[in-house]
Amino acid sequence: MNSSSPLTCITELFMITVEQLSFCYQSQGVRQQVLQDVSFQVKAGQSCAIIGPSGCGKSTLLFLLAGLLQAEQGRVRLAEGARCGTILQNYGLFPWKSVAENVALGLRLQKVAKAECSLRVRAALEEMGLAAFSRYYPGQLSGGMQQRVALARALVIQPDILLMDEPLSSLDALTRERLQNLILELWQERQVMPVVVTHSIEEAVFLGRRIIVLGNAPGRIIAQVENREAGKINYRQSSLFFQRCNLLRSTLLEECDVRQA
Amino acid sequence: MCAKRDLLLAAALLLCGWEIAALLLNSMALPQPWQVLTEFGTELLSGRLLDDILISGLRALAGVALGAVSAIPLGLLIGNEPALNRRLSPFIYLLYPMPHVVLLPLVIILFGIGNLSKIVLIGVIIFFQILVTTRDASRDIPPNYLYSLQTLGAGSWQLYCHVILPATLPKILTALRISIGTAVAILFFVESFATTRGLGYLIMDSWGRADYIALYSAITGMALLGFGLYLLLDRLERRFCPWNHLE
Repeated sequence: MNSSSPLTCITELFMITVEQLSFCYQSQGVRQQVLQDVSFQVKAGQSCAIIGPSGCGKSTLLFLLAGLLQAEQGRVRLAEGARCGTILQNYGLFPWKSVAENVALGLRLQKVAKAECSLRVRAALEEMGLAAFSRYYPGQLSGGMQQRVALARALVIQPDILLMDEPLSSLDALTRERLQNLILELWQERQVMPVVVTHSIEEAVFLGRRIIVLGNAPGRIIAQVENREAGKINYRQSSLFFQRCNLLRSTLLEECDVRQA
Repeated sequence: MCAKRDLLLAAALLLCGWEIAALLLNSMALPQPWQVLTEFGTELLSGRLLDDILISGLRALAGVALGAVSAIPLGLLIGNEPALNRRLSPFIYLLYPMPHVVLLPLVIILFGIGNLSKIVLIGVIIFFQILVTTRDASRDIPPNYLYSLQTLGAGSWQLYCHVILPATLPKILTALRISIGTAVAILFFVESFATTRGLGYLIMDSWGRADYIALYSAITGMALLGFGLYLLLDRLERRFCPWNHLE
């Protein structure tokens, strides 16, 4: 194995490579094409937001990235040894496990020693400001706190990529903004690459260094936006931020008009 | 505390209703509650009634345990393995609606007339109730829970341990509570033959002797047995499903 060949070096630059990916669901003998010929790459150190109209296959794309679904055509490749943490819609916390048990689950499944496991869980909960709630059940926490538990659970396994399916959609505006900042911190300070599926144009522009815009079902890429300013201080308040939002809005509106026509 | 007070109040109201009905009916077929409770206390203190309650209780518990132990794992498997579900569902459709109590002659031939046949018949009847509830509960688990665990690297055994069993546990315990009523009803039926012990026998024997006070005393024992088993499952539910009782 020649790890220093030029081809390998180029491949390793990319954390995520999606090549001509197509996927369809099969239900009661009916095939429904969800994704069609989707290709994109995300470099190490970038972040990625995936946006598109309802039913365009955003969540399916995330499930394929997480390895929960297998592509029937094309392929998904993650950088060698890259670990993924995943947060699904509605956080996917287990109501029958306490906050600490939820966070510890990934480590328990990896058979991490008990002492190390409890140390890492405590550290993750402290980082998320949830140390005092370790014995609580998810049902006793607010939406924002549940989201932070989900983040702690995904981060405790020390992922390189954090896949999130509409992670902030059910939160109030202020909590959403705080958690967006937290995701940004994780990206910039801990080099955890966020990949966010979202309905929100502002969220996509704020969090996505690379924005993948999917068109109407079956989802295919209609635009890829290089958003170099994502993650910079005060980007949210800059005129460029609003310009990018408007650009994205008009792209999506055009796509909606096509569907309605 | 409030629940206990409400329970005592309900019991007092039931006794009042019984007393009024006994006074209105004025028949030896419905004695007054104080007569029955006095007989119940006397028989309990003599030890004879307590023995019968214990024997009936053990038969009911063993039957429910037999039904639950065989139905729960199978229900979880059928609910989560589509291939198994396809193969076994037709059998469940055919066998579930039939009145299983008619299997009594077959059960006696296979297991004799002793305790075993009584326990097996209760177990068979409970089995289908718990099987269907467990299967449906495990089929209704939101897929996000399963996906969440899979993203953490879980295999199928871990899915059963960490998601499928705990997610279905509250419904399984509800099914068990419902089956307690069935188990006690079947207990009366199976203790009416080939035995001289148990509350079912006591009821049939007192009825045959037209001793209505002893009859109602045994019925009270059976009601308390059912209540005790129901209470036990209630405690188990609170112990094993604390997330269902959050303030």
